[in-house]
Amino acid sequence: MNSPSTPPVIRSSSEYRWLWVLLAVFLLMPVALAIGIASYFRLSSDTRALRSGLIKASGAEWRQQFAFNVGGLTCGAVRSGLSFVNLNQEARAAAQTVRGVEVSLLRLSSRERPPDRATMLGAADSAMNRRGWDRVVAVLDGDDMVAVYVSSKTTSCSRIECCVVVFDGEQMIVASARANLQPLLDCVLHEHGLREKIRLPI
Amino acid sequence: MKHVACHPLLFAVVAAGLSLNAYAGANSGEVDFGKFTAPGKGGEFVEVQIKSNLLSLAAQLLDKEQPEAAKLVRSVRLIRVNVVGLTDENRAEMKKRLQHIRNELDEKDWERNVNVQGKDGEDVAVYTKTRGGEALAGVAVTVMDSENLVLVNVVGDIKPDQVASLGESLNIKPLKKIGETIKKND
Repeated sequence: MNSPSTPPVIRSSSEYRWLWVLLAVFLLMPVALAIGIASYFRLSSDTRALRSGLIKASGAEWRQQFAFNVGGLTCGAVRSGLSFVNLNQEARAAAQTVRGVEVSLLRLSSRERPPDRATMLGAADSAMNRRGWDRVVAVLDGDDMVAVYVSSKTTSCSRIECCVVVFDGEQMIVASARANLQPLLDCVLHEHGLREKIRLPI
Repeated sequence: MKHVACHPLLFAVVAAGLSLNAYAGANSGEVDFGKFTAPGKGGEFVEVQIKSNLLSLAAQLLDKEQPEAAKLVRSVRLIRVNVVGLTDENRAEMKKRLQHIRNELDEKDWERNVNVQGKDGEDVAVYTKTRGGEALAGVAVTVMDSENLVLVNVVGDIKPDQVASLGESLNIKPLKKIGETIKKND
């Protein structure tokens, strides 16, 4: 005669939910990590638009030397990390100022026909104007070209966004930065007593 | 047409908007210098354009400690500077364009406050546009010498005494001169 066996325990699906979550985290972690690492080498859409506008207008072939993008998350992590380190005021203020940096360095593949800098500047202008950026400065001198663009959203020193293009006839740097100038300004003006020195006689 | 007649308020608003726009255009201190292209290889070209968003940012920086200076910066709406290097290819064209700009300023009732013809061919002119006789709506400076064409336009609602003060504080001689001339004219 069979002994009366205990009926099998059937666990409710909710008890396994945490297991699924854990599994999902384990599976998604490498994907998130890969996306995170890739994001360091992928420029933002505005910087990419500027770069492609310049490349297209130059009519020349370019070789990218490197490109990196340090975003707000990394800058925030660095700021948090630095809060435990004993730093001088200026260095701390500088670290607190930077909110994101992107840099792309390109080199002309061949110098058969030097690109027309005025055409490049025009293309950069239209690419940036479409995206709500205004050109603040443009300098063309000899083989050199410098252009600075500021986002039209920039109305306060706590959120400044700017893009810079520097071309020396051979190499081109397209850089973009987001910053909060307030900590740096406070440091410079208070620490060095510049508030008293900068005084307009009005 | 029936629709417009049925909405007289709408018609009035549109008409007022258009006339205000025309008034703003006539009294604006902004000068259309036109678009400049960089001269050929080796030629110098500089363009600076500071709009109200950056000027308000600068005013914010000065707000706490220098409220008067901040007020002055806030009264400026646009600063535009163009420097075009002169080469044999573009000299005649730039001269023509400068003449065209000056003619336009004269036609639009800008007042020529400073006019200098230097020994070495420098040609400097400073124009101002007043708003209601109390403030400057704009200042335009044109300079042409053997090397460059320089055009400056400051737009805003600037008090004449502020121009002189700004010139003194930043040590910009033309601005000092303009301020003094305006004071004399008053």
